Amino acid sequence: MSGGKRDHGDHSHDDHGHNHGHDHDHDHGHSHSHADAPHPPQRDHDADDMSAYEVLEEAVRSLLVEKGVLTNAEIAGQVDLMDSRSPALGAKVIAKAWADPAYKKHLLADTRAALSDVGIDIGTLADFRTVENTPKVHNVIVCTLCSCYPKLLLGIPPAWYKSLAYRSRVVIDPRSVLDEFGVRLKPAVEVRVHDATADLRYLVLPMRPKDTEGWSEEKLAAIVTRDSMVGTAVPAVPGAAAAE
Amino acid sequence: MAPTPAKKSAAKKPAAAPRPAAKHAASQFRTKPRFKLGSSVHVSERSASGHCRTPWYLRGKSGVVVAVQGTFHDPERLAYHRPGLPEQILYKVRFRQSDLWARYSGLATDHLEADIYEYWLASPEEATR
Repeated sequence: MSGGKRDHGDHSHDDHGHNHGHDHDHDHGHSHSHADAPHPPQRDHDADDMSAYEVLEEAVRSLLVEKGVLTNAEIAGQVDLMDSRSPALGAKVIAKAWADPAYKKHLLADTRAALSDVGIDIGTLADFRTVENTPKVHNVIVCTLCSCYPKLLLGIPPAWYKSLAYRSRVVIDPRSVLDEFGVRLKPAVEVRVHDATADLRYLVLPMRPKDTEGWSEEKLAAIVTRDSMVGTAVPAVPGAAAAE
Repeated sequence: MAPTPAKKSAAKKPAAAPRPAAKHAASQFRTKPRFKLGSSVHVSERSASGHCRTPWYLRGKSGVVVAVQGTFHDPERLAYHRPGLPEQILYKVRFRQSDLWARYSGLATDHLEADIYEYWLASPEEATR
């Protein structure tokens, strides 16, 4: 399921973005000498033979359309829905929780309802839980069995989140993994790993950094990164040293 | 395949039990949860062929229930085109990292939490039987 969605949702779109940014933006007066050192041609993402799973996905999709179970427009609509979810959406929610103690309480007690209150529908497939970082506990999320992730809030997970290396190492040796991500924890802070093994998806509510008093929600949201909502980063005020 | 939980047949009447915060996927508790917050639980060491949401590294390990997450369709049946019934109670179980890994290098206070279905859990007494 996630294979087909991934290929449509981020793989092909990423490649398009890359093509435009990389190949076409140099034609406006830069001093690159393309004649002397041409860029190697960008390889087409679909140049290779299809993998068995790609063949399977295409076969099942065509059958579903042919039998009238789904329309191509519905499939495209679902891809658009997924593309509309992104870390920016999650950052808005975290910023609101930082700015409004009542909303924070609501988010921690009933994540689905709190998201619904700000117009975010997380569908019916999985429920969400929010875990709060404190001066004593740092939370980090993983799905060791596959790649469960709060997609309907944060969008498609990054490739590393789905990698075997992350999924095994963050469970056995979370402190080294966090260190590699650049997270510096104070000595006595407990690391709490959440393995999303079943029907729930987890969101980390990071700690609000010092020196952000009086900031607007918009300004706060700008420092909430995707990784800070997974627990592999800590939001920081630009220019200040991050520590949790 | 999921074994039938021992107490299932006696559970026709709606039991008075805590409800999950969200009700969409977890309808209502159809049976009373066997474990409560703070209960010590032991994860079964049995093997499972096919789809299973209990990771290998937690089998045979002991932890503490920190949340009763609700009732959900049984993933071990859903995966094989069955309705996923009877629904199963899901717990969040907290393990000490030093209980999971012999050479864990972090703090003694570090923990790992995972969501485990009731039919994978036993009380310490049942586990030593």
